[in-house]
Amino acid sequence: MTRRFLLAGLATCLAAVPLAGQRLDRSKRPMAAPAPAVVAPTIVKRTLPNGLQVWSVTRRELPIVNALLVIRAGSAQDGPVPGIADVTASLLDQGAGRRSALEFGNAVAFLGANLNASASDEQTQVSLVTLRKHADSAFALMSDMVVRPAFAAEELERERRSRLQALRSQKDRPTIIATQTFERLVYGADHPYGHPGNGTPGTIGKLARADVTGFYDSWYRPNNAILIVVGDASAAEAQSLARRAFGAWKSKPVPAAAAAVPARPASHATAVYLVDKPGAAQSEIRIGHPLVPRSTSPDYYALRVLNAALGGAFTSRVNLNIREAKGYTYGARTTMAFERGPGPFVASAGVFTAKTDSSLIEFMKEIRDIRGPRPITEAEAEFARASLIRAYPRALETNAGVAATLADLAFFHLPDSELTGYLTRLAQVKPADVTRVADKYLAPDSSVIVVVGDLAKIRPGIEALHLGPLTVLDADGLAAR
Amino acid sequence: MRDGRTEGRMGGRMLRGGMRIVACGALFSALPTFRPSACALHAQALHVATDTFTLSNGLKVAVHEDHSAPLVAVNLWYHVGSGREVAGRSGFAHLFEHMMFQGSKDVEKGGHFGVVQEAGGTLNGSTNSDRTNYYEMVPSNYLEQVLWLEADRMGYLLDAFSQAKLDNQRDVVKNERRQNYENAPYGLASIRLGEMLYPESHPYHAPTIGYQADLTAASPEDVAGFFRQWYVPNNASLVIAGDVKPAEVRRLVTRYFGDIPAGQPAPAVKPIPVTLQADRRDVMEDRVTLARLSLVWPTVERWNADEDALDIFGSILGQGRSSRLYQRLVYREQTAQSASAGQGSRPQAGQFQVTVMAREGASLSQLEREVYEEIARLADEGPTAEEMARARNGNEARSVYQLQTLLGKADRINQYLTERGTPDMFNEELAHYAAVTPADVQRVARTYIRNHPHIILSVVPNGHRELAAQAPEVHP
Repeated sequence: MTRRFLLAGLATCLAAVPLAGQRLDRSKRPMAAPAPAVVAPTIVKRTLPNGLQVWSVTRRELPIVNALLVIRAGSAQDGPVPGIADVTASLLDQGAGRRSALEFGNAVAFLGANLNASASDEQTQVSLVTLRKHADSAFALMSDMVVRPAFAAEELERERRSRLQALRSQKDRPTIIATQTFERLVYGADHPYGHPGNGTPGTIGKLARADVTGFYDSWYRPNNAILIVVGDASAAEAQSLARRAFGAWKSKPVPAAAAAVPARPASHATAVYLVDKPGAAQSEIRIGHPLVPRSTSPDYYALRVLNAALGGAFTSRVNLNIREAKGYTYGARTTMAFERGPGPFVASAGVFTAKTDSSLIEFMKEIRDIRGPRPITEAEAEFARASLIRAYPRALETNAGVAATLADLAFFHLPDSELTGYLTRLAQVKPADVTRVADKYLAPDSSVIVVVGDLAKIRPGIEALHLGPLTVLDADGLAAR
Repeated sequence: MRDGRTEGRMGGRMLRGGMRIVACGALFSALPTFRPSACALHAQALHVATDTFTLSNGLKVAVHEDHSAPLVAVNLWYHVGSGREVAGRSGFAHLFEHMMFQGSKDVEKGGHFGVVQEAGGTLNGSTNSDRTNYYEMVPSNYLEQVLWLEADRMGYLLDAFSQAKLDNQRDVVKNERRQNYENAPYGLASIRLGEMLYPESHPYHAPTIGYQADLTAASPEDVAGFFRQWYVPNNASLVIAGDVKPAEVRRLVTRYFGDIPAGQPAPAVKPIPVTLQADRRDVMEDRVTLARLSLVWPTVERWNADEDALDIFGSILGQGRSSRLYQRLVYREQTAQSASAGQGSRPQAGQFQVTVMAREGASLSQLEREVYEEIARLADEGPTAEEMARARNGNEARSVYQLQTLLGKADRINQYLTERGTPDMFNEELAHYAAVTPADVQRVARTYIRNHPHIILSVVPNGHRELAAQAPEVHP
C-alpha cells in the first residue's frame, strides 16, 4: 500500500508562462509546474520476541541495504562517568564475536561495508551500509558488535590512551572549545546535557572496564532499541536478517531513574564568557539558552518556521545581515536542538577578530527584533514554510535519509501519520504564531554568550557593549582565570 | 536465503533511472557468518544511461533520467579553476564563484538562494584547481526556474555587478580563509605542501583559496575580464539528472541557454608532470598540540594508466583500520594518533601523500623511518591476496554507493563528460580498477614512491622546532 499526497496549496503563482514562439522574457521568473506526487515510505513493523522493534522499508533502486540500530541511551545517561556512552560505542568493533579488533576491521573492509557506532546526547546509533550481496555477512558483523562485544582490557587501555590525546588536541580547535564551554555554562556540568560527550581527561584517565560493561549491560538491550532496515530487501528478508542477527539478544529492564527526561536548568541573566586564543584570526561566538522538549511542545512547528526565518538557512535574517550585508563572517546561523528534554537554541559564527563586537551587536539585534520590534512578515513566513515543506522529498532521497526520518519518528514515539502530518502542520503556521513563540521562547536577557578569540583585541569592544557581567575563563573554558 | 528475483541473469535488471547492474553470484549467501569466497568477489557492471547534445553556442549537455524520486539535480561546470589564474590574482576563480551568487540582470542579489530555497532545494558551488561547479537539487517541477537562474548568470552576470558586491564577497572569502586555514589547526600546512611540490609556474602551486594580498587586489576589471574569458557556453558543460523527460529538458535548455553567445575557445588543458631532483624538507610551527608529518611524492595525473595501482597502493598502505600504517603505528606501537596514505589525481598532475599525526612524546623522525619501512616492505613483497580483495571490494561498493544521490551522479557524469568527452565511464573505471594486479602495485611503488625524491613537511607546536623530522643519514 502506498500513500500518495500532494504538496498542495503551496505553489506560488509567479508569472504567466510565455506563449510558444514568443521571444523569451528573462525578466519574469518562470512558473513552477504542478508539484509532483510525493510517495511516503511504507513501513512494515514487527517486534522480535525479545522486544526489539524492527521497522523495514523496501527500496529497490540500488542493490544496497542500510540498517540503523538506535539504542535509547547516550551521553545524557553518562551519569558519574562523562564520556562512557561514547567510549562504549567506540569499543564495540574493537574485538567482537570470534574476531580480534584487527580481524574485525579487516572483515568489514573485505565486504566494502560501512559499519559505525557513535553516541550523541540521547542515542547510540550503530549504522550499516552494505551491498545487498553481502548483507548476510554484514549483518552478522553488526550482530557481533552489538550483542557480543569483547571489551577486552587491552582494547580499553588502547582507547583510553588514544582518547586522552584526542581530548588534549581538541583544545587546538576554537570551535570545539566554544561549543563545549557554552553547553557547560547553559546547563551546568552535572546536567545530562552539560558535559562533553567525548569525556574529560579526568574521567577518561580513570576509566575502568566495569564502567564500560556496566553501561553496556544497563542500556544495550533489545527492549531499549529499534532496528530500521531500508533498501534492497523485502520485508520478509529484513525480518529474517534482523531475527538472525538480534534474536538471541537478551532483554532486561533499563534503569528507570537514569532514563528520565532531563529537567530544565535554572535560568540566569545574560552573562558573557571569554576564552583567550592569542593570535586567533577569528572569534568563535555562541549565544543561547535551553529551549523546549521535542515531544511535549505544541509549538514545535512554529519554532521550526521561526528558526528557518531567523538563522536556519542561507537566506535567513542573521546570515543575510552578518555575512551578506556586513561581510563579518563566512557564515552565521541559529540552530534549535530538539531532544526529549530542553535542547539548546544557539546562534553561532566564526567572525573576523576586528568585527567581534559588531557581530555581537547584530546577533542580539536579530534575536530581539524577531520577538516583536521587527516581527516575521507574511512573505518571510510563506518562504520559510515552503522551504521546509518542499524539502521533504530531498530528505527521503537515500536509504540513509529514510532511516534517519524513521529513527526520529521511533525515538520520539510519534505516529506514522506524522510522516506527512508534519507537512500539514507546518503549512498552518501563521506569522502571528511565529512572533508569539519567538517572544515566548527566545531569551536574549537570559542567555549565555561565549566568545573564543584574541582577548587583548576583542575584550575592550565587548566590554563596551554592556551585555552582562563578563568573566574570562582559562584556556580550557573551565574555571575563571 | 534467496529471494525469487533473477539478478545476475538475463543481462541484469534495470535499476535506478536506467542504470543497469549486472551482478554475479548469490546475492544473499546462506552462510550464517562471514566467510570470504570467490563468488562474493565478482565485480558488477555499472552503466548510467545518458542522452547528450551540444547547443550551437558550444554548451555541452547530458541528461540522465531517473524517476525514483520527484527530484532533479542540475550541475553546471565551467572549465576554469585556480590553475588558470594569472600572477598576483591567486584565489580569484573562487572569489568569482562567490560573485555568481550575487545576482544577475534578472535575478536580484540573493535571488539564487531565494528561488532554490523557496523550492525546498539545496544549492552551492565549489572551486578547485581545475573547474568551478554550480549545482542545485529541487523538486522536479522547479527545473525550469533553476535553468532560468543558471542561464541568467551565464549570460548576464555583469549587468548586475557592483563594486559594493565585490567588496562584500571579498570580505566573506577572506573570512572563509581565516576560518578554514588561518584559524584551523594545520590549516596553513596544506597550502605550504602545494607551494613546495609545484614550481611557481605550475597551475597547482598557489592555493585555490588564494593569498590575502591577492584577494585585496582583485578589481572590478578582473571580474569583467574573467567572466568574458571563461564564463562562456563553449567553456561549460551542463548535466541534468532526475525525474525529467529528455525531450523536455532539451527544449528548456535550448530556450534558456540557446541565445547566449559563444566566446573565445579556451586552450586545451594538458598534464604538466612535476619531478623533484632531491628531497625537500621544511618545518612549520602552529598552534597545535600534536606534531604532524606529511610526505608527498609527485606521481601521475588523473586517467593515467598507473592511477588505479597507486590508489590501491595507498589503500593498502594507509586507508582505514585494515591498512598497514594504522595497524603498525596506531594500533601496535601506539606512537601515532592517526595515519593515512593515498593517491590524489588531478587533470594536470597527481601526488601521493602520507600523513601521520604523532602522539606526544613520539619522534617524527622515527615515524618517518617506519613509514619508509612499510613502503619498502609493500613494494618488495607485494600486497597479499586478501589486501587486494579488500581494495577491490571496497572500490566496487563505493562505485555503487556513489549512485545514491542525484547530485553525486550528476557531478560524476559531468567529470566524465569534461575529462573524457563521454558521460558514462562508470563501468570502465570499475573494470580498470579490478584489473590491477599485485605486480602492478609493486611496480608503481618502485616507479614513483620508493627511493624517489619527495616533500617532507613537519608541523610542530609553536616554539618546538626540535620536534621536526630530521633527515635520515641513509636514504631508504
